Amino acid sequence: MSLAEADAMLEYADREHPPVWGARPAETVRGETRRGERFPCDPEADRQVLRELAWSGFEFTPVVAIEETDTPECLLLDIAGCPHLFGGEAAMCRRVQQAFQNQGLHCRIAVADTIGAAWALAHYGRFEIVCSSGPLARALAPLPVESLRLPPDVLKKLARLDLQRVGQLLKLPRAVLPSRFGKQLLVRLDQALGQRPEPVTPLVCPEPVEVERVFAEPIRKRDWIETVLEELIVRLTEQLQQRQLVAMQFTFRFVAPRQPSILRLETDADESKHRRPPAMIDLQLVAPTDSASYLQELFALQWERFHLPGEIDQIVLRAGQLSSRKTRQRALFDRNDDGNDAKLVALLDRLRGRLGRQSVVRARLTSEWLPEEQVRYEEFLHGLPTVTAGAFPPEWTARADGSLPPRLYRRPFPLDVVTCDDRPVRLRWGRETFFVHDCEGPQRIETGWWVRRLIRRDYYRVATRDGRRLWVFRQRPRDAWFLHGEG
Amino acid sequence: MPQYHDGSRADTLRQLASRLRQLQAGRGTTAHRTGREIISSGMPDLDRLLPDGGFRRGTLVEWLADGPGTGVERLLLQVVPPALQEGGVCLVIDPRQEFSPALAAAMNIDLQRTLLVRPGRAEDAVWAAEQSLRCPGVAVTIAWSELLDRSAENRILRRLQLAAETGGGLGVLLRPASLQGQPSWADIRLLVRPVPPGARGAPPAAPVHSLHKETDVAPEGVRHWMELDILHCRGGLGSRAAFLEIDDETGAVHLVSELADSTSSPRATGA
Repeated sequence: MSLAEADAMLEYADREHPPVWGARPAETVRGETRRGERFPCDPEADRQVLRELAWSGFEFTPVVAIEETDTPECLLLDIAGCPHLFGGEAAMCRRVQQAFQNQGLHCRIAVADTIGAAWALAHYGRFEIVCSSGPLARALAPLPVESLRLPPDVLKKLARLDLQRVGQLLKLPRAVLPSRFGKQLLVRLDQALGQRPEPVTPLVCPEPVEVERVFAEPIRKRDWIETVLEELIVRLTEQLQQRQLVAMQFTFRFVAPRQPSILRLETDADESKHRRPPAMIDLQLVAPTDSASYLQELFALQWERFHLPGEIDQIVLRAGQLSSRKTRQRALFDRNDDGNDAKLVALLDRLRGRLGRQSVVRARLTSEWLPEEQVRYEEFLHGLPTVTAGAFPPEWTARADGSLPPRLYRRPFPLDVVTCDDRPVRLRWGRETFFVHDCEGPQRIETGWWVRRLIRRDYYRVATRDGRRLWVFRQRPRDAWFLHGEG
Repeated sequence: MPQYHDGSRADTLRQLASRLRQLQAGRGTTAHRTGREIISSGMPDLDRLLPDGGFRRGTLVEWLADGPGTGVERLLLQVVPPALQEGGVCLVIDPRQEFSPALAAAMNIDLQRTLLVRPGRAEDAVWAAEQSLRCPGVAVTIAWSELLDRSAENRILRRLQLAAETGGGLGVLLRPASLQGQPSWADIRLLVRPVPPGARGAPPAAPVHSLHKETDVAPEGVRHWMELDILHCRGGLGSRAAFLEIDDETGAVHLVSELADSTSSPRATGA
């Protein structure tokens, strides 16, 4: 894409989505600074990213390749024999699209009998997902000649002769084409129509990396298991290093021994009871690793609070979410000091390892009305969440500092309130009584009945006689009072 | 008891003060400091009251608040934007999930660089705080809820202080005011009390403020006051108190008047 094109797109995007609450000058300034940054083009980095993306294609088919040009921009998936596993071609395409959307990427997909036709339909088809059926010539005829992956000078010649569509080219006698437009045109045309082979070099599918240890007799002693686990971690990381891989997920499976049939009770008919479901420890990291010591440290955090349900006779350690070793985790936080970023990732892994994945989050503001819904919490796994401070409803941004309490309770506490002229004059919360000196409000917040059940609240900011600031609301129409925040 | 003439007494006091400041400031130098040593508290008026002109990296700052609704959170969050200026992240230990990101965003705190940690148990919260303070990538660690609300946890505070020294970040603790008599390892201890409208010693009401008029029902919560006691401060002398005025519209904090040595309980420190 040329710089001018990129600029035009940015301008268009700004016009389509102006800064939402741009009434305040601060907001407009922020809106302008968000207008895109320029980075030098780096084809090798593009190719590397595409190669990394290609790994996710193995979820759908064993043959994944990257388009073979100087500036590749397509992934080629040979789905022969695979679509029925996903409920047909269209359903498979939707799954692929979803998989990329989960990574924050928008993609166009085409299914066709040849690579050339699929490329053309993906780039110039009318829809984001195109599954072509029927003769290729008919599918390609309405597409522009650019869809044939031709060099610019050939395109120029075609334009001079006003040959705009592939259909027009197909009508010309084949013998004329090489002499007038060069050999490349005929090659591309034949490749698109399946009359000439087009070789691709598929990437090698990574096999899951797994190590296991089977014991001759069931064991239970934690010390022994710990020693074996350390050895398994070392073996696993050695395998990863040999294959130039790094992984983000590590699963430890502790398999319970099968109960010998002689000990089974006759009444115990349920087969599943004869073998306990395996106990698991699942480590999901923030950044990929292949370091044994790092894994051992993280594992120890989980192991110290892990309850082993009984004897085990097999331990399986499996590495998942593999990627090539050159994969670099995107910087989690910009402007961080160079060496500290790795330490921060290690801290996050430790915190998530001990406290659980949902316990370490980042907040993101949404434009909901209810105070408790104005924030969404996100884990770090899916890239960087974008934060837009301007996404408040206008009334809240206008005086955000004053109207939002610094401490917002997860669940509002019920209050006993004495009112006068519809305004609170005395609040009782548990054993404490607060006399209202002054109150500001009501600020009514109401949810749309079409969203879910109607919620209507009148919020008051209360200053008590001893100088405290409380944030209370009156639930309408039930007329119950709640304390929702303070400060 | 030595007798001083009027002139030499002031000189001697000044000399003693500077000597004491040197002694206190020289204690516990940290090894892993990067960037600026002093972070502004985010409130220039408070910076002027502090001997270093702000909070020192690699130390703990303890905010003590007296019951609900004091608004102490509004003050302690002010330190985050200056602390993040030189990189790093802000990590908030929030076991009760009461931290309000909306207010943080309104106070110009970068939410992308604010991590919320929600431990389920008290010991996990302490562990998380220690880990976070130990990590050089974390510029400021805030123990949002009353993490350490028992007096017997002085040992834990010492651990946190050592962790902060190792990591070089700033630790901000929020604790109940009932612990002000207990020793602490924090470098700076600040006590916040709400100021009842019209209380003795409160700043004189300007005509625009109608807080003293009981009958007035029009919205008048434009600004409110807090009393801030600097109970202990390394390198500082005695305790000081001040009235702060908080503008509800902008969130700005101003010093209204500085009081004489506070009448609160004498400084208690474990150091």
